Amino acid sequence: MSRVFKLKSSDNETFEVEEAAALLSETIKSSSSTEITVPNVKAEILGKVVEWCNKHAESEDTKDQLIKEWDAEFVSVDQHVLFKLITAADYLQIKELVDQLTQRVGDMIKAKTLKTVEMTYPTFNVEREVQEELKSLGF
Amino acid sequence: MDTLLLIPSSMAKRPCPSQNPRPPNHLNLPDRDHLLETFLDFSDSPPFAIDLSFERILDSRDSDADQTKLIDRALQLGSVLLEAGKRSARRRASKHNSIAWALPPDLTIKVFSMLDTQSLCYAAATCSMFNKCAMDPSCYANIDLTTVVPKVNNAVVSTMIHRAGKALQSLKLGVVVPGPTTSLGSCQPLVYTIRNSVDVSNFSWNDKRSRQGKESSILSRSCLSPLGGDSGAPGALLRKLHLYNIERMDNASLCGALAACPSLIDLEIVGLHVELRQTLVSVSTNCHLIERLFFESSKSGRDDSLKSPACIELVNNCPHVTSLSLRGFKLHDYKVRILIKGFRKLKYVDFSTSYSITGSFLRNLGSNTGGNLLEVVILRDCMHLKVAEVYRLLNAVLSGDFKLLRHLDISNREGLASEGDWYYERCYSLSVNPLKQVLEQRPHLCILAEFPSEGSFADSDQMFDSEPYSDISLPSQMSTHTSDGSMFVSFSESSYNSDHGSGNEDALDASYVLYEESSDENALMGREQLYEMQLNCRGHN
Repeated sequence: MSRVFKLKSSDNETFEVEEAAALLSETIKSSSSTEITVPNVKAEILGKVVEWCNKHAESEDTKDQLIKEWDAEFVSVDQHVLFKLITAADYLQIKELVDQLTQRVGDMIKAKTLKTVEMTYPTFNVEREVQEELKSLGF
Repeated sequence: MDTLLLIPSSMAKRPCPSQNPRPPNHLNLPDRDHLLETFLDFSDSPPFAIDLSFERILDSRDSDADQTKLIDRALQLGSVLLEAGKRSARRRASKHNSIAWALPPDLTIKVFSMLDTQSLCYAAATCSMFNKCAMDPSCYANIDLTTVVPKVNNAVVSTMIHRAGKALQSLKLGVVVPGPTTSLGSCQPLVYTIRNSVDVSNFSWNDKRSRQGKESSILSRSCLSPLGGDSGAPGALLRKLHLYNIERMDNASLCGALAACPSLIDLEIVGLHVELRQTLVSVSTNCHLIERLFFESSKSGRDDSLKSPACIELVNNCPHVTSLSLRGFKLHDYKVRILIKGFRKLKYVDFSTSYSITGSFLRNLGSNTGGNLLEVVILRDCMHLKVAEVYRLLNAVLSGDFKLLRHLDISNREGLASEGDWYYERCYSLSVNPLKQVLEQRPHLCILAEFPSEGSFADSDQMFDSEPYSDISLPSQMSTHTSDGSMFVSFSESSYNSDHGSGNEDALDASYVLYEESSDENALMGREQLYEMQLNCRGHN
């Protein structure tokens, strides 16, 4: 019989997760209790993380094309949500989810679609020559 | 005089014009701050107020020296204030960033480690927080400084390598031809040849620093020297090194770089002016863990340097090679044979655009000697590749050899060489028989045999039949070539005497003799099969 884990969000909502899905999280794995409170993570975000875990517990073969497409959809969220997901996944130590999410952020940096002031705010001058050289190369 | 300075609001008036103003060193901090604050308030006045004020003050000074001093002072203060403003702006931006950027440094570093080198440098240039994260060595584990035109210079390479330190795993450097390359044996030459039209004039700022003028924007021969050095050098853990079209790289500097990389697993060299033999010797001396070797010559068939002892040494010292590509060199069958038989784990070979090899190196390979693990064999555009050897290979496949073969590419822009005159008598198609049987017996085997259709030889003076040919042609009458048993008698002796084009007639060393002995029985069996073959060759009428 597989155990059922209870994950509680910071706004007091509880999610029930099957063992297979829950054990994708190292934090849960090394926890002595089946009831885990996830601080600083709201229900909306925790729910999505649970969704990811459930999906990945189902399909064994992570190289499957369908799951890859599902994953791609999953990470195509608003930047705001994306960062919160990373924080949650990082706390729960779900390596693969963290990898996928950080890859997405990397892709956004590459595509320069990251909406932050800092990406267009060139204020730093350290090793300017190297930076300028690379930038002037169109590099 | 002191009282003047204590009345900030009357800075526009000077009761004692001949006296120089003394800096308010005696003022305490709060008063000094108040002074500056008031001055900053001053600047909110209508436009040009400070100008006019300054000019009035200047005019009120009589001596030239006084005026010069005042101007210098103004410039100096202006600069100090400017820097202070910039610093504060940066600090504020960083603070804003650390609020707006929701990831802690370790996750930021993780994100950055997934970026390509170019994006990483952009990120590093945006703000100090990003810069700090982007300086983490793990971000530089895979350095890719390849560009489409020559741009990167030694300093950039050196900086990146030093940032990586012990985390360095792969380094790609040089000038690459843009465009897609197929994954399996691209026939598109990677050697970059268009140099003159490149506009490198926008890098003139380099001139100020360099002693070599504009050319310092190009990589020089010592660009890889940061890999070496004392113990713990970055090259020690380097696993992958890809170099493309670095004009100034020479044998000595490349061998020096290889000597610094004992952990190298994947080496790709395209369009470097280095000698194949020397490079392979250096690899066999230094890189015993090597698994993938990809060399493309800059000299299109003129590099004839490879010698048997070098081959023997290479297979002895580097037993882990699984992928071997030597493109555009002059290779002889017996030397290639040493390599193929010697590398016990060899799965992938690509000898595209090679000169001299006829394909005889593939004889008697696929059963239980070395070569039986071969999965991919690519021999595109090998001028001297003989159609007879291809048929021999196909028959070997039919009889159960090369069990793991899944991809064979013998396409050739000029067709295949026949037994006759290798230059004028080319074959542009393979006959159905062994080919069809092979494809039926081995459904997972992909065979690429793209040849030009007839009439594509614009500058040849051959007589062409009017009948068009396709890739798989219909059997017609037996050609006189196959009924002539000389092809098989010549098994036991060098079969290339008449074929001076390939230069294999001097292949009389030990390994060749060995193969001959075991091939006699095959020769008998092969003769029957080959007699049945339909060979469609172009020839003089």
